[in-house]
Amino acid sequence: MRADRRGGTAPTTVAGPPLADVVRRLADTPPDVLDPAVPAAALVADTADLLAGAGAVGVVRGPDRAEVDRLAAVAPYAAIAGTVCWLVRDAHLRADPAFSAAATPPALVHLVTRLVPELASLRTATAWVHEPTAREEAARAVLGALGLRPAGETPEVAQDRWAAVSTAEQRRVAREMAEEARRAEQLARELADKRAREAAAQYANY
Amino acid sequence: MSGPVAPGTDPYAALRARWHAAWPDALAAWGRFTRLHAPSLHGPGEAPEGVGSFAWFSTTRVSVHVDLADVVARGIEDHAVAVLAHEVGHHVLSPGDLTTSALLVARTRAGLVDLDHLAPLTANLWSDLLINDRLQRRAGLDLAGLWRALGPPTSLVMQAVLRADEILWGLGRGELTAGALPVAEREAALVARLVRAYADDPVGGAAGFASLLRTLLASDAERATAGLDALRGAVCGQDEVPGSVPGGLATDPRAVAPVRHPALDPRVVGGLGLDDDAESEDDATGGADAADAGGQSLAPADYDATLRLLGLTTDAASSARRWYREHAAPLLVPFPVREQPRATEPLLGAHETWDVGDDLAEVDWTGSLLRSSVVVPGYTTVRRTVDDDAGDEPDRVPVDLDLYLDSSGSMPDPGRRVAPIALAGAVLALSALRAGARVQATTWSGPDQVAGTDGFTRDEDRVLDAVVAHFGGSTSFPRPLLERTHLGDPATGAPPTRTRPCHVAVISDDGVVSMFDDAVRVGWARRETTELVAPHESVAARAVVAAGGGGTLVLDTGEAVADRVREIAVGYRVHAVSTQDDLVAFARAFARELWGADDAAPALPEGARRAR
Repeated sequence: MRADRRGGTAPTTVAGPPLADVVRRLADTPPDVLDPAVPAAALVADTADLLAGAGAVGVVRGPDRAEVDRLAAVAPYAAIAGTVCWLVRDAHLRADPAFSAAATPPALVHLVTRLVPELASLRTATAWVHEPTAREEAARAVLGALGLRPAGETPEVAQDRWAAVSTAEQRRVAREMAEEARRAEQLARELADKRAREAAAQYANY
Repeated sequence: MSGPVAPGTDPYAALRARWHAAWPDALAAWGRFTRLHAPSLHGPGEAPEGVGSFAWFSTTRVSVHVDLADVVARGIEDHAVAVLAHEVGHHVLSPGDLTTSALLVARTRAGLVDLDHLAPLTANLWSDLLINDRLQRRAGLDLAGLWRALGPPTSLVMQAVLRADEILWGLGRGELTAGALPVAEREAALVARLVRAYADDPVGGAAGFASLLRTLLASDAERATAGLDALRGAVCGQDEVPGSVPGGLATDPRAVAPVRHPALDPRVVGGLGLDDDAESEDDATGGADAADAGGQSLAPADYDATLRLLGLTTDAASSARRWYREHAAPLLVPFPVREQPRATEPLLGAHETWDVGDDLAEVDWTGSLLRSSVVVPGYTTVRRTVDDDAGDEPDRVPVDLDLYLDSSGSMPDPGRRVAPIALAGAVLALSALRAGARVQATTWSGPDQVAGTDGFTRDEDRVLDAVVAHFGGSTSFPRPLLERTHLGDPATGAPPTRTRPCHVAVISDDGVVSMFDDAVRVGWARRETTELVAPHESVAARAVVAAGGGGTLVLDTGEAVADRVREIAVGYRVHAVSTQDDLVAFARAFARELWGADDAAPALPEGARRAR
């Protein structure tokens, strides 16, 4: 996930469900969803039908369906796509008006085709589900992609917490600090060399 | 708890009772089986000087202390469980014992490069962070509430540390940090990762933590004393018993592991999938404070600095003694023991001086008090010797050691740098003492620069003092002393001071030729006017024959010089020792020559064989 996606000023978001609910739903992910044998494309299609409501069938079709099929054929993507479906299917979450307004079939397709590859580049589905910090990052990422923020958080707080848990942000910080640390080490080494040379020169004068 | 308080007059009685009642909960935060004796709750004016915080711990006394007056002043009376559980954490998680505490200080000192005086503070700050995170996240204690009660930080370092806590505990910005102070956001983010990465390895993360906070500490230190004092008040104090020894510190390789900035540490940022992980893996800087000889353990000077920072010593010589004692321990060699016919009938003999280091039970108190009413151990104390009638069974008598250590300017100062040659001396002396022998250790340099035990002794400290002493002057072997010890004083006709068979060992470099300058004229050797004697008639050669226990020259030279010395040193075995590896070889050779090739192998310590 790129931090700059929501970087700078806090994006306009709508207060959604509490973060704890989203995280708990992720923690409850059944192992079946992570099973590579599950046909993820079908799961996405079924979930989209569910989100469309009113007994709709086959709402994902055309190029969207083709792209979902293509992604779901890749095992790491499939497991994460399954997890995302598991998350948005939650009746308790969908009871939240803001969440149900945001979680539309096109939004699900957007999640699967945009967010899932990003998540897959950072961790495996199992890691996203089982590591506490990763769960929070995944929950915030999904909410953010739906244009929501956790209930009870101001846009600024939500943005701040996102920066604290975002792997991409941490990566950027680590890169910068590593660069500075290397420079400092280089300077220290040069200084030490210079001191050693001076000491040697002084010694040689005796 | 502490200090006599008349009943009914203690204004803190109620608070004391509340805090004592919280103690079982504080212990339970670390598991059902944690046991520690009750905390010392100090009243006003009872806290020792220089602790600097409202709570402190001592790994040597294994105790927890809280200054209740300070607790009231800071308004944290209601956080008893959090404060006490935190202090228990110093005994359970980090540092836990004195050696780990010393390792933490050695590591933070290395990470801070030039801010030595802040190393103990940084080490405790690091321990605090690990403990607080564990308590907040796993034990469910409200450490965040304690920090809120303590008020916003006033130092840059605490600001960064509390920001890290906010990140770790999922708190919003400004819940623990101060709005007025700038936040070192990137440092805080890395501290948070570091705490999780090294949650169960305080020593491993300490140097990285120090190097990460170094610039912030420096800017706090620059802001007059306000920043640092504020920091001290927020970090746990530590109060150790002076003179305690952190066992194993001198030989622990973790103390000199390369300092790695957390941003370059794969354990901290490895999970982020940075492209240059592989590079940072090899990017061990080593530099800053790595010890000299091989870099496998702290140098004596660093060891001394660490002990000083913990308030354990103020004496460089005692630090050096501990360092060489610890390093010599795995290399000790079997010292020669002579077999003599055993008596069938013990006969009461005369009194002889009981020396410090002899078994206390052997003191003849009646005899000692008859000699002097003032008891001065090693001088007026005597013990009864028991003479033996010659019998058939053999008795084992250890061979004494007469050790001469060269401390001329060409020898390294053992107190500063790792000196394999001094280590060889320590190995010989400690081996002899372990076998029950007595040792005369003499440090020599120029003509009048002679110091040592002046006679045979069993006092380990005095012997090691001579081993680590350093004059740094010219080179002139104290041949008169050697002569007095083994051949008797030619001037007064006094008998030799040696009473038992004795091994003569000299630790030196090419300056050892001054020992034989009555037989050879080498370089600067004096006595150009006197007539030379044959090598086997030199004082040194006659002394080693009279000593009856053989002689060894341990030289910090190359093999070529050692060969030259072998030609003139009649009666002595010559060993060249210039590195730690040579030292192990020397220990093997020494044992082999005295015990025979086959017997030596099993007698060698495990460590010596591994090191080869």
